[in-house]
Parts: sequence; C-alpha cells; structure tokens
Amino acid sequence: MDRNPWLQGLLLLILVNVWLPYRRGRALHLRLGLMLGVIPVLFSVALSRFGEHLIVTLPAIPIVGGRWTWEAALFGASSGAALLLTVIAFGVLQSTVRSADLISLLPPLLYRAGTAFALSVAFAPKTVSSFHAIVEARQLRGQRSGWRSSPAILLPLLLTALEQALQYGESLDARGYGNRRRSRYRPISWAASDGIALLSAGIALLLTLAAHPASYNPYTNIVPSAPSILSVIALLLLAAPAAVAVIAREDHAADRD
Amino acid sequence: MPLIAIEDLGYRYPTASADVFANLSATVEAGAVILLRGPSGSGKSTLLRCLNGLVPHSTGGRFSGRVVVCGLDTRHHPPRELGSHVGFVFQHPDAQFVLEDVESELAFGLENLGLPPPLMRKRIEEVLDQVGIHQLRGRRIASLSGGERQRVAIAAALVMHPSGLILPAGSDRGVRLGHRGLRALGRNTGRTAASSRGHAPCMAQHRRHDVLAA
Repeated sequence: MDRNPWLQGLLLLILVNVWLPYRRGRALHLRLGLMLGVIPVLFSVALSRFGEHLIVTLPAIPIVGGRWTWEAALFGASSGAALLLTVIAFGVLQSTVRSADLISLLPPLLYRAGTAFALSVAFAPKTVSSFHAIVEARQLRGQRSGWRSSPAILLPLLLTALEQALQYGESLDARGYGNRRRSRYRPISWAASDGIALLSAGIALLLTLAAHPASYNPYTNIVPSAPSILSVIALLLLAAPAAVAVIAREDHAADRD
Repeated sequence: MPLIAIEDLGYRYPTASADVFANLSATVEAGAVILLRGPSGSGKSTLLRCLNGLVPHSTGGRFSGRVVVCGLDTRHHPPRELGSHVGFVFQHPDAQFVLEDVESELAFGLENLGLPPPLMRKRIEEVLDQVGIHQLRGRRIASLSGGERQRVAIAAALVMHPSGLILPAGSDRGVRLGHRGLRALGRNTGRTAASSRGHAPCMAQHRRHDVLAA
C-alpha cells in the first residue's frame, strides 16, 4: 500500500472496527501506540533536511541543527502511521485468531513455518506478561520503574523473551508437533461469514495489486493526492468481518424480540 | 531390552569450555523410579534433556556416545518423534503451554499423534481423573495457580501414554502425581501393571529431604 494519508486513516478506522466486535481481554496499549506514532516524527524532523516548506531553522548544532521542514515531519508521521497500522493489524490478529487454530491449519510439511508463526503470535502476550513480572520484581526491590529505568527493564525483557521463545519451540517439538498429520480435537467449522471474510480479503489483495502505482514515492506531498478508487474499494472490503459481525448481532437482537 | 540405555554419553554446550559430563553409562529398566541428585549446575537437567532428544537436537554442542529410548537412538530421532515415548514436563510449566485453555492444552499432544477425536476425549477424561484436575477442565491457563499449572503440565505429558515420564526438579508432589498417573495408566489401559509394562518416571532433584519424601 502507498503512504497516502487518506488510505492510512481509512485503514486505521477499519482495523479498529474489525477489532471491536471480536476483542477479547485487554485493549491495545494506547501509550505504546502513541510512542510508535510520535517517535518517527521527532526523528524524521530532526534528522531529515528534505523539503521546501520550512518550520524553523536551527543554529548549527551537531546532527539536529539546520532546516526543519514540514515534509520531513509528514514523512515521519507517515512512517509512524505505517508502524502503528502494522502493530494494530497484528493486535487484531492476536485477539481474533487462536494460535491453536493457526497451528492446526498448517500441513505437517510446513511445521517449521508453523512453529515460527505460532511463536510470533504467542510472542506479544508472553512479552507483556514478562514485562509486568520484571516491573513487579523491581518494585519489590524498591527500584524505580519509570522511563529512566527502561534500559534496566529492556535488557532482561529481551533476554526473557528470547529464552521463552526457545522454550516454546522446544515444547512444541517435545510434544510431537510436526511429526505426522495432525487430527483435530474440535474440528474447525466454516460458517458463511468466514467465507465472506475470506473472499473479500482475497478480492482486496487482488485489487491492491492491481492498484499498485508503477512508481513508488516514499515521501508524502504536503497536499495529499486523492487515493485511487481501487485502493479505497480494496480497503473497504477488509471491513467485511466487522460488517458481518454487526449483521449477526442484529439477527440475534431480532430473535430476542 | 531396557527402557533407556545410555552408553558412553558425553556432552559439551556449544560455547562451553568443559564437558557437562563424559563417559556416562546407565540403563533404566521398565518400572524403575530414578531420582537424580547433585549440586546445581552438575548437569541433571542436561542429562534429562538428552533422554527426549532436546540435547543435542535443540541445543547443538558436542555430543558423544548414544542414548537409546524405547529402541530409538536419540541421535537419529528428533524430539518430535520421541515425544510419544517420553513425556517431558518442563521446569517452568508456562514454558510448556502452547494453548490457552486446559482442555485444548491436553488435546494438543494427542492431536499431534493424529488420534481420532473420540479416543482423544476418552484419554482426556482419563487423565483428568488420574491427576485430579476435573474441575480445571474449562479454565484458562492464565487463571491457574502455580500448583494447578504444574498438575496440568503433568497431565499434558501423561495423556500421551508415554513409556517414561521426565519430571523437573523441586517437586516431590509432582513425582507422586506422575508415578500415580503412570501406574493408573497401566491399569486403565488393560496392561498388567505399570511396573511390568515399561513406565519409568525419572526426575531431576538435588535436595535430599525431597528425595526422601518422594
């Protein structure tokens, strides 16, 4: 997808709408999201000298001195939005799809890919729980847990996450995953709504490929160009799961009356 | 044929400068209960990981000699092939859990064996009774206490009807549960007795009073 802000905004709305009816457990971490959105803007505006529209000219301070431009700020915002959208998309996947179903859908030949995929899906919640455990342990020892202590938290967090990933892979292996064709304790049943979601996602993929511009411009213009109609339709098709959920809910409401 | 045969086993971790152990030989007969005792860092866990092939398949390193489990040489059979012969309970149950609720977790290993759903249901019912965790069946794993998680981890290993069970350090209660489960398995599956049908629980342990208690 290109970096058109209209498309990014539309995709954000769609992702939130798909997440809402299927959400389980806690909401996505707002602070983390804001960090992902804001940090690229700061980096880009301070380091990039690209563009004509000036915000301010700083004295010759090493690295950050010189012309700060709106184009650089926009580029940072666009990168931040892309990062944020990627994280939210994984968050939606995480909260709507059970890792067990993903593992069982893969054929045994792809067991290495299946292990890697299961690891990637399980990574976020395991890391979040490790983070809370480390912060709690620090608090028990009377140590700080604010921003200044982040290096002291991030290093054990990284090591714990790697260790857990290894053990998780070992557990899959030790319990016979990928040895032969798996059977299913609870067979996965396909409903009409699943078919609609799959079909619309497939069409969306084809339309996105068809609408892909011949030349890719990573920078964003100050005045964004109108998105192509094909891209908008492709994105709207991704909202199918949200639409199906709303229709299903209205059906249940009618039954109750 | 012994259940486990260890011949001239030696192992060194990839970045280590010394062997964890060398020229180690032992046999474990069917029905034996083996307790491993030694100071921290003496290689108890490493030895147990040799029994289901995690060493060397997962860790790499320098491996010499051989370990034969149920007639399978661990050098040529990766852990996923040994999984149905040797039940392995991880030291930290959270590292072992793959799925979100207790019943799915118990079914995971059986699904990997490719068993039909009715047989899976039967085995899950059996193991829930054996380990005494019927009340946990529908619970999410994240909501379980430490002790409950350990019992679910043992049940997840027992449900695959292994010939041997490897239990981690520091759990005499776990050893009792595991041993009771294996014996029950022998009875419930119509075998003469666990001790004569090749069920051998093993355990890594280093505290003397726990060894005596177990």
